[in-house]
Amino acid sequence: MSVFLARRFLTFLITISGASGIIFLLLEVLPGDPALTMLGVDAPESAVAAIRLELGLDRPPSVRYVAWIAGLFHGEMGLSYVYKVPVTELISQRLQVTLPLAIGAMAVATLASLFLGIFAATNHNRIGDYGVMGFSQLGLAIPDFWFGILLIILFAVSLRWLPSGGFSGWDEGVWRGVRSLTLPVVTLSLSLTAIMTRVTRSAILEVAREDFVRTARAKGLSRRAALWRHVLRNALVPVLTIGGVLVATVLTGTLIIENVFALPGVGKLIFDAILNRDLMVVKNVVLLFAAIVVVVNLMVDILYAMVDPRIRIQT
Amino acid sequence: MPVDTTASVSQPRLTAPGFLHRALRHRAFMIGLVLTGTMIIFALVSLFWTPYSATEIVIADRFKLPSANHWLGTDQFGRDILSMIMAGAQTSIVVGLIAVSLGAVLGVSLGLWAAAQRGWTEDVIMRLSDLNLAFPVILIAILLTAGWGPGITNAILALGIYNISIFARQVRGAGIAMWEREFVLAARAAGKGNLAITMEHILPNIASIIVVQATISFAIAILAEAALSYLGVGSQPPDPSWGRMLSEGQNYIFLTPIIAVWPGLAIVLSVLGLNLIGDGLRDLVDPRLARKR
Repeated sequence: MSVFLARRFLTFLITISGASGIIFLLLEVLPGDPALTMLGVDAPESAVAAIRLELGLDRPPSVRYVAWIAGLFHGEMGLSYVYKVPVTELISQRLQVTLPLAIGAMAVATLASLFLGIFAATNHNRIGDYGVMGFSQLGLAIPDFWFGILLIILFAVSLRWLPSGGFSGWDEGVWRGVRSLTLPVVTLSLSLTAIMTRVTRSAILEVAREDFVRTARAKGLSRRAALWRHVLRNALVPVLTIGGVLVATVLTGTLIIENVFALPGVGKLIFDAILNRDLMVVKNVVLLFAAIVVVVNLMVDILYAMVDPRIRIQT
Repeated sequence: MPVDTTASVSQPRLTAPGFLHRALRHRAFMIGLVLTGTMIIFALVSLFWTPYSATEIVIADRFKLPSANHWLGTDQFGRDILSMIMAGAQTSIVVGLIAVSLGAVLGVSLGLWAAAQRGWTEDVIMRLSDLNLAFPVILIAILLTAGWGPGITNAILALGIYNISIFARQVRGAGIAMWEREFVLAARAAGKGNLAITMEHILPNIASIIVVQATISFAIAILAEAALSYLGVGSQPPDPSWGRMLSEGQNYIFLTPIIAVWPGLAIVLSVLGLNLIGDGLRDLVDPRLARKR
């Protein structure tokens, strides 16, 4: 196991260093002068010179890259060119919206998909199963941003039950915050639920065919007892694995959904940063997201290897 | 003695006898085919005819509800929504085709190479693929847009780059399994080199996997292109795009909600069609899977 862990950790380090290199290359080296990228090619020379000095862009790229990475080790991401505040501060403020959104969507999707998956599997090849599979097929085809717009039309424009967007902060009261995040959470959970329902259903069907389930039934256990005591526990492994992989889907989903509902989260921050050409923000947010994806994949691999020893030997 | 290395192939193929017959009886596959066919016909017809111009602004006609003149109504600039959806299908198909082809050509080549060489070549390709997967499509698009400005080319590149590792991983896995089969050993014994075996035996036998992946990737590309255009980092005005129609329409949902409904419906039906084809093909090339499901 320790050899596996060491190898996996080395891969992780290589991937994360490569990711930071690619981000730096694509944002600060290949497009040309980052000062011109930020101010536009028509900017007066004096302004370009000033920003070069202010952000240290007059130093060679290799020095800037090392300085960026060294700063990250000290928890520093530099100053946002537009907001004039540390990028770490901006990100931690915005995470107050993005994190509850992501976690809420994961929680809703997990509960809904467990219910739907079990329902479909216990009604295999019957109308309930077809209904759930149809929903799942549709959930995969519906773009989440369109689903969000439909929910706004129904619950905000027609019924006026919930706000159409915006978020005034947790200081204004938890209830208000929850109301603002309800439609975004439901929106984001749709495609996750669709994928996880499929995985849950097929995992249950797969395990239900195993010999030990047959033995349990032969011992006189009812279908329901066998399902809860034996099948579900074993079917959860693939579901957990796909849950880990779906973290990337949730993260990128928040980027889109925050723009649909005008939520001041990290997703809104990065798209505003693109419009404002705030490279410092773009660079660090993209690295943060890529790092989360890589860390989650690492964790899933390790968990999987703990559950299934064959993985350790193969890798 | 020459060995006939093409004889003992057992992997299901799309050209196998009876495939067409089974395909015609597969209901979901046929529904998918009809939906996707409709999208392609829309796109093709829009190349030379749309009911109205998809880009011309007619202020007098703005926010018209569906009627005999404008079947799906008009938008905030008085443009005919049906014409815009027809022209938008072109954008979706072009983006999907180029992005999937780019990913498939490079990814399949890398996957085949990794499977044939193994060792450090495989290690390097897989680590590069790990690196690629650290960047979901939207992050690649954000990077390209922040560096070079928004545009459809960046959306295509982002999708293409993302697809490389998806194809490479699939093909490597399937390829490695294929390299252990008897007919490949026979080809080796007959003195064939890695390249010849890859082209004559490995590639034809994993073609069905590649086709299924391409169909699913195409569906994902349509969704992603729409999302990127919705966010303003994909297709730019005046090029018609379903995603941008939605972002523009969203500003007027308090006035005429219907204009934010049609483009979404077009996306759903197209993606659903391709997903059904993908699922259907998977069932058809591997009937054991179909029975299990």
